[in-house]
Amino acid sequence: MKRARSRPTAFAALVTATAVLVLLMISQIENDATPALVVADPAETYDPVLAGEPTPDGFRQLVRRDDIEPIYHPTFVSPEEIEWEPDTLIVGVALDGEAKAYPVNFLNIHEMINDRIADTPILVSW
Amino acid sequence: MVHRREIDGKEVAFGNHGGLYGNAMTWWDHETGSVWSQPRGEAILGELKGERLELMASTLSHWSTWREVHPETLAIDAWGFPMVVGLDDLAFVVDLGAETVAYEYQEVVRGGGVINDSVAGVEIAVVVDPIDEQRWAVFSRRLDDTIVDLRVVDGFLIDTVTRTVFDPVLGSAVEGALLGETLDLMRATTIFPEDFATFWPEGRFYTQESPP
Repeated sequence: MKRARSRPTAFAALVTATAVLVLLMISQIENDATPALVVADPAETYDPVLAGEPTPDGFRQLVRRDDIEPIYHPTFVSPEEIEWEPDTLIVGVALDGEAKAYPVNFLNIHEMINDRIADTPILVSW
Repeated sequence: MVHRREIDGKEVAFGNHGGLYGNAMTWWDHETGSVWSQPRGEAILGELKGERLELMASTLSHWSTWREVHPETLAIDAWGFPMVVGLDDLAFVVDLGAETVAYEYQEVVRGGGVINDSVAGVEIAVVVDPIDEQRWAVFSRRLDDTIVDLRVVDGFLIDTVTRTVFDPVLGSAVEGALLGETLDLMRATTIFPEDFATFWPEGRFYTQESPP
């Protein structure tokens, strides 16, 4: 019994040590970067429509919030790493020496991308 | 379109509200849950009703052209999406506060691919790429003290004043007296023409009879 119990304990200690190390590394990385985006839970956030506030003429609710999933944490690659057709239509943003490209047909699916360019928070929508 | 995702200088995340207002999408902000309408970037319901997000300059371009002009560009890590989009049914909206004008895509094509106009006293040009009619951009026509007058000739965008040839989507001068200069990209958005009046009741549609 003793041996059987000591094994998971040693394992747990190893897991804990690894986790602490990883967290330290992450916090180190995040110290150098912009703070992560604060993303709220739709179910926990006030919704004036669900609360019954009168909606303006011409407004209609079709699906629930975020049923069409926005992108909150986009990832990027260099042009060499992507295989888009040369005639892919993209939305391009350039600011202070930085540039980013988002294919329109990808935006058609996700509709919204929360991003940053040159330290400016942007919302790309289609 | 691209908006600055900041309210009173504070970064805010935006989600999809899942509703339509005037046939355009709605967003919710993660700070107050207010409902926002896309074309004007304006809150229509909730605590922030009436607030607007700042529209930023962006462009529609072919990937190959964009890459050439912005070799430093990053690409969103995405693939496998279907190819379906078309500009033909849309209008381009230039909202300069004092005046808002909508340019129907078909009207720009009828205008030979370029419309020289003035919005709230600002000289602008709406341009559809003569080579690829799925690309468009809105430019300021002022370059220092020169006001360019743009025409599409044989697939090129040409200033009739200085004979400078411009890239129709990026606005950079590729040949002629103004070589090295680039037309400023204006903030513009797209909308279905039938929805324009919903968002800009005071706005006007450009027609060929409008003052040049």
